Amino acid sequence: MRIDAFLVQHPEAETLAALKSPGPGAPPPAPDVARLISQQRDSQMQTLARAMVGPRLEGDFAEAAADRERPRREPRPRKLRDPRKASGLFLATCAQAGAVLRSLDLSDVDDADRALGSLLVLVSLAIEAPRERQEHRSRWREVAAEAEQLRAMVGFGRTPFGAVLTPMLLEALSYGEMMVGWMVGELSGGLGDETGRRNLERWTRRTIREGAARLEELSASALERIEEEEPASAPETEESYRPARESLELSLAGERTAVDRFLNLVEKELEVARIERDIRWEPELTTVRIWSYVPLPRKRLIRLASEAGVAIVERGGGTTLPG
Amino acid sequence: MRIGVVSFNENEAFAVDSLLSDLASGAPSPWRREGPQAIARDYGTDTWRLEHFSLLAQGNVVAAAALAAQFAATNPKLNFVVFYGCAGAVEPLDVGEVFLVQRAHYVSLGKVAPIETEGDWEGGELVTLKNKWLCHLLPPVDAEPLAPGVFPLCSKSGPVDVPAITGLPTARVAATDKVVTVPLGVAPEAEEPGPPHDLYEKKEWTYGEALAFVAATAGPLMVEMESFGIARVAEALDILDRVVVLRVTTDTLVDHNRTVTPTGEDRQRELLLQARGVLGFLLAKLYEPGLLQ
Repeated sequence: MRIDAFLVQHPEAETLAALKSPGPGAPPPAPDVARLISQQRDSQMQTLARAMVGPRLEGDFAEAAADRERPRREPRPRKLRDPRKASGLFLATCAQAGAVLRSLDLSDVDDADRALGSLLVLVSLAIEAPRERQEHRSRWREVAAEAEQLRAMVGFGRTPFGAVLTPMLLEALSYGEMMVGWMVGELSGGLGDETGRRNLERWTRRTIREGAARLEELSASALERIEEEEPASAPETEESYRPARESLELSLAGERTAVDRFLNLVEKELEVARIERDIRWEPELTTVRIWSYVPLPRKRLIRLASEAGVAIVERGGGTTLPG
Repeated sequence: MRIGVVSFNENEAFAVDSLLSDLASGAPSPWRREGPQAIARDYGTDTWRLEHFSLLAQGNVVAAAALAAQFAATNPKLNFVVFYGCAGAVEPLDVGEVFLVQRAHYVSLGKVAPIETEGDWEGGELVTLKNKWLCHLLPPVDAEPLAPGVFPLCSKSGPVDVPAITGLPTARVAATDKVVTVPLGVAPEAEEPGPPHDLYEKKEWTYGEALAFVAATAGPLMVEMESFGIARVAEALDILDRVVVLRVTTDTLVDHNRTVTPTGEDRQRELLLQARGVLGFLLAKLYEPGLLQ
């Protein structure tokens, strides 16, 4: 576009005046706001695909040069990134969109757009500096309440928060297998060969879980800061609150069904309060943290692993085989 | 919301500085100076900060290093980094236009050899580009073409669709490490057509041929010296979703406007100064898409 033609449409004097305007003026038309939100929703899979793998490095090409017998003609397989890092990058991009939406009025867009727009703003506010967040605390409170309400509205086949944020939000409850299958299909284009694809389903699940945990953390930490400024509510009674202080990290090797079986068995143990799954990304392993009220006897865990058909991998590299 | 604007040469720096000065002066302006290169203002519950990073240097490596330095040192991170600079237009009619860079191809890796006449070198040099970095070869070799750097904010794959909110057109870039003053050549013919890729004979191409090869895909093409480095480092730093490159086509390949005209005007400076209004518009839309309906 020619500079002079652009400046006829958008005179510089008007631009300067707008940038110098005393503060937010008339809100933009709802369709414009809806378009901004839709762009974020529509780009979620592409954003996750970018976060899925590290940057291209020419070292990859040098690796190919060493294999002169079989020069590669296809895209090189790329290593999947740590799901925690990938979900963090994805949410940082959500915050980017949230920062742009922050000053806009979301009240005139439809429910799905408002839901996503509110969540993006929420993430953006939560990631920014605490001082700035406190200045926005009343809006934060509204947004948090709105997101909480909308979470209950989401059902199978509906993704008002987008293809990636919806399963992240639903992770607290459960998310559909079909959804994960679809995501794996979409993401697999970014990987070079079957080696990458084999791990992709597990990676997708873990990334969703990591994202869910991060969202939860952002939400809780922000709310805590707000609550600190309010009069303390009555302390919980001893009966209603019993902290699980003991935690144990285990890396498990075995089929997914066997790992599930083991965790179900562990969960039934009276001492166990909760289990955090996939706390770290390790190829071919499922790493979990078990929270309990008292330390769990090691022998009992080995017996349960044997019963379920999984191996507990020791930190030093050894393996405790079942049976 | 924090935005950084990076400029490369003196003319670009002058245009950006004058925009900052205009914003921070004239009563009543809500903008205040925060050091010689930055201004800020309160906007509703938000604070807007605009900082100018004047490199007074050019090249893919220099621009990439500037980006890396900003993101290594700045806390909290900039929400957006806008690179503002001039570019050469491949088509003469494209001079005097503004474009957002959508993707950047690297047209640089090659060879310099002496031009010899009957075995004697008389000081002439021949600069060529190895086509293995630009296209797939037949038979295949131990290298793959360098993937172009893609800017998600300007290719509908980022969290914000900048061309849509600004109405600015996009263009591709051939990023070189030299000022290229040769015209577009004839695009080399493929030995074997795709899919998946057209395959070419291994050769050393002239700049004219390489530019014609890149230009063969639809859409306007510009020639400049930074966008590939910016894209690749932004990718490595995981900040591609924050980077926008705005280019003003001030020259053609064979007729550089950088020189002062007989009437004493520096046309590059003039065009860059004029296009600061476009830069201001882009910044306004990034700060608040609702501004300037």
